[in-house]
Amino acid sequence: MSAPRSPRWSRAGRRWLGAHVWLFFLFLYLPIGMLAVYSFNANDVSMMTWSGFTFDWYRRVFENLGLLAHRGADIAKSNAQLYSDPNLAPAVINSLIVGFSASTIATVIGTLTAIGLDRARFRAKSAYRSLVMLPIVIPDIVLGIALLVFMAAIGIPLGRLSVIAAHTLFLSSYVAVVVAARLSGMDRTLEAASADLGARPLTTFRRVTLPLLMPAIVGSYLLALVVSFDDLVIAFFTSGVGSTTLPVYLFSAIKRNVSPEINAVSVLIVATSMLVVVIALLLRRSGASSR
Amino acid sequence: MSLGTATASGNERRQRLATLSFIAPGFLLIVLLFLIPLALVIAYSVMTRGTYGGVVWRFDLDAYARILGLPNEDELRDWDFVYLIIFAKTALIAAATALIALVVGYPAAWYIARQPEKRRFVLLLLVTIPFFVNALVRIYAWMLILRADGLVNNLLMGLGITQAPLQLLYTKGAVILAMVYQYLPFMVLPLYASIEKLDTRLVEASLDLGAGRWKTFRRVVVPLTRPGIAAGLGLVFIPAFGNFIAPTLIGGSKELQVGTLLVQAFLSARDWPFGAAVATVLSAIVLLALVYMVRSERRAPMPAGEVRP
Repeated sequence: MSAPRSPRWSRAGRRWLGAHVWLFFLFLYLPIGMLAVYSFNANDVSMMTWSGFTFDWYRRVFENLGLLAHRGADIAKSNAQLYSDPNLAPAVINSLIVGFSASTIATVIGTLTAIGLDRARFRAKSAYRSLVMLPIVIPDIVLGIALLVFMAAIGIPLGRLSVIAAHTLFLSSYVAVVVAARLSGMDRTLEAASADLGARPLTTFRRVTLPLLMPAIVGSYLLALVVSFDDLVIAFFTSGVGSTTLPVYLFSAIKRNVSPEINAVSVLIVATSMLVVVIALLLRRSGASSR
Repeated sequence: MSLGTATASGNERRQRLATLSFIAPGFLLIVLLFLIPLALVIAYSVMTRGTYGGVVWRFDLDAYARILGLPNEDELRDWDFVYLIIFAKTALIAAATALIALVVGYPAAWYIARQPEKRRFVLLLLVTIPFFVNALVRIYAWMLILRADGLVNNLLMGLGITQAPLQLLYTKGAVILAMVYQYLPFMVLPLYASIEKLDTRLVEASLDLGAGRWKTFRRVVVPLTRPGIAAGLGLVFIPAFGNFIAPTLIGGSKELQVGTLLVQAFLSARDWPFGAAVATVLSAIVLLALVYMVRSERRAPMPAGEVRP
């Protein structure tokens, strides 16, 4: 429904509204944009005073990741200990392993939950739907602590597995919500037609329902990856020594001291998630319009 | 005939089994990794503190007594409302965050809802993207802006407005600002959903019948978009109340909030029953906020005829 523009707005009122919206988007993007710009700042004494353009911090990050060879001369010149960080690469690897495993399992479980909820005819259905939402609505700190207490109580050591389990839980709810939204907007006559033409339920599911849901499933898989990749609080409580994820690494690094390398790592994280999110959201949109 | 009914009911049973098998994995996951851990937290909150962390399984309500500030003669403790004050302060900060987000977000949501379809999609995308930008990085960006040698202070001193750097970081204001920034999408998206459904003819009618702009807004627009307002307030208040990254990084060590208190109890003080009690109270407050949200959503769909003049 395209709402008609209300004609009662005075010209001044509309101008104020327009200005407000400009400021609103500026507020949303300026801090991240600033971080991106200053991550190329050559000044390593005062990070927020511009003194020239450099790729140095990014080069150091890639060196620490093992993707670029260290420049010996550069390290001899400055404090080698400060610039080679052995914790960054393992943190990235942990984040990738956790993200892909948890998102994959959660996409399967979440999709099944959404379809099951859509078909189910049991009485507690709406209550169960709220229960599924709870893991994402409850503050992450409560979930993190509850899982920490639980793992300690049943003797599961904190490591990659415990982080994967924790992420699988809340990502499943996340996927279920996204897929359920798509299901509720889906054209049901196609399924009915398939059944009328004699297709068995399983065939209808495989050949009609699943293809219609595919954009939402792929989209929610990508979003799950990003959400897992971004989570600090739950990983903070459920990861142990040697299984810290990238956000946990970043958090302790920031608490110690800010540095130009942190800027570069942050910008790389943001750029990666933004790219994946835009793909996911466009995918969802294309799925919604190709009814 | 009887064979037909038997097959039908058999089919039905098979269908029901299939549905159950769809729901079962998610259900098991939620029971095992959500309900049981939460029950454990509640149970721990009424246990006795173990010497080296953990708990001793002996019933004890002392953790709650400490939160409430009640005296305890055995432990030579007098009345002490320090924890109640932390809860109240955190609630005020979270409420301020939600209200500021509402004031900033409402006009933006209104504007977006009134755009042509294509533009609306782009604007909504622009609102959604920051939600997926790493929360830690977004707070870190504010650290760089507000630091003593940060962008704002550089700018103010460069223009000669101030001589020495202002203390911007490690204040309540900084925490609220960063959290408004962080949770603004949570406010705008439900508001947008409500405003988009708003029937503009009712606004026209109100204006035609002689109600002024302010009165129309208060008596027509606000009641009709109340579900979005309630959802937005709840979705900002809840995570703001439990936030621990923002108070840790830009609130400073003096400004203890519920989130930081919780982490301290578990990780530094190793007082699990007390931490569990704080988590339980926090969850109870969150649950209340959720109930408020759901109830105002249920009251929402007001038929046009019922709009009071």
